[in-house]
Amino acid sequence: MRMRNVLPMLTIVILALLSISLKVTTARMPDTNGAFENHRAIDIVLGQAGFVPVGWHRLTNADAYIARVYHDIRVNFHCAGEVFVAAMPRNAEGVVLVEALAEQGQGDVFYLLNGEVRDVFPTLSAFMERVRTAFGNILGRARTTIHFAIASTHPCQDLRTVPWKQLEDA
Amino acid sequence: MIRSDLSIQTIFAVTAVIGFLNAVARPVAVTIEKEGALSALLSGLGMNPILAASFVLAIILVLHSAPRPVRQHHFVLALAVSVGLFIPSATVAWLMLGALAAAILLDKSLPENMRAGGAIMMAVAMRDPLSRALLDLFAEPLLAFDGRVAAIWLSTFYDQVGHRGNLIIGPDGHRLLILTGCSSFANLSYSLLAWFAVSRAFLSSFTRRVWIAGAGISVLVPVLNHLRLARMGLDAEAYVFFHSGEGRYWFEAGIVLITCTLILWGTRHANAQCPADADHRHSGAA
Repeated sequence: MRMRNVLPMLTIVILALLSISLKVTTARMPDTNGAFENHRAIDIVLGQAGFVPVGWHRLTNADAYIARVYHDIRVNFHCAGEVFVAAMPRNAEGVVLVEALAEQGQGDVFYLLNGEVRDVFPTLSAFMERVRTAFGNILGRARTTIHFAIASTHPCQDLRTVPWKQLEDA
Repeated sequence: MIRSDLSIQTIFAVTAVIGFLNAVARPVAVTIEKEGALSALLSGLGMNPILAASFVLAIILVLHSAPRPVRQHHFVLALAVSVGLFIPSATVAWLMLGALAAAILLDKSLPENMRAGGAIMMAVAMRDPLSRALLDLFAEPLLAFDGRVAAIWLSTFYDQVGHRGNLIIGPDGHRLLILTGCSSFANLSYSLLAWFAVSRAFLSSFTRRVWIAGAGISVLVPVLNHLRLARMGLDAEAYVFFHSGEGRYWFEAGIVLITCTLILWGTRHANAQCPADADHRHSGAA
């Protein structure tokens, strides 16, 4: 093979080896656990409103959706209601689960996208946010999409008034 | 000016293989990490075999076309794609492969065989980003449709069956949530990819029969998936059997059988020709 043939091919093959190696070395096991990583931020925000985390609740028998459960334990106050916070990492596939939870307990359900309260699952905004996050990660600007479904049963206070915007700072 | 005896086919095929390997590198690495090398290899490296087979078909078509000398802009494109693949994203890798396929597809001076390979390559490259975007944007209606049809199937044999969106409620209160990965659309995208790849590889133009075969696949593959979902919605045992047990393999075999039968039916009596021969005829090669 002549040099003029070898050089272009060699350039491409070297680039290929490097790019594939980069992808393999940065490959991570997907987080299949619905127990979201940044629950501490939620703990802090809900804690200010008098809620304490009491555990986790599996919404499916697999680990696809796991909600963090909170109780309202304000001083001299008894509330039987529960609050379920579930991460919605993909799309609207899990919406029906949190809606069913809220309905069973005559409660409320709403969605949070980067601290903003939405009545219905913000499909388009969530998709655009994921695209922006992906671009941000490519450009080395680490972004985290804060995207949750909140369901409450027998609520004793309006959860929508909780300062969710603080999640962005937490 | 770059002077080389290499053909466009060689440069583009090598770049396409690199693009494909970049696109599947992460899932393959994760599968190996999770299952171990041998087990992962035996299970096809966590890759859908249709995806790999269609890509191989595309590469064969590209390489089996009458060779054309590479020009500088071809090399620049191949180099740009190779550099673009450094972006650490599988979606970007698919899009880079799509860009390369578009360059082949849009260049009408290239041999027909190579352009057929480009069309298949485009379908392989765009399946993942497109189906991902569609399933994210239309998850609710698509999954709710699956839930509704599966519940209708189940209710023909059992009483007290219901559904709410993508949640099927079985006769004994057993509940099945249809997740994105179990949607009929996901299975259909692979079957239609196989249909398009084989039909485009062996036929110079799509006949009425080919279109009917495509329509048949579009109906029967979701029907089979709805039957499986209905069965999984019955009770926990059926769920395990059809989701991760033997039933899953029966279901996959059924999908393959339906897809292959209809593809063969669609392409069998069509005016099949080997574009590679056509290219050689036109170029006067033996």
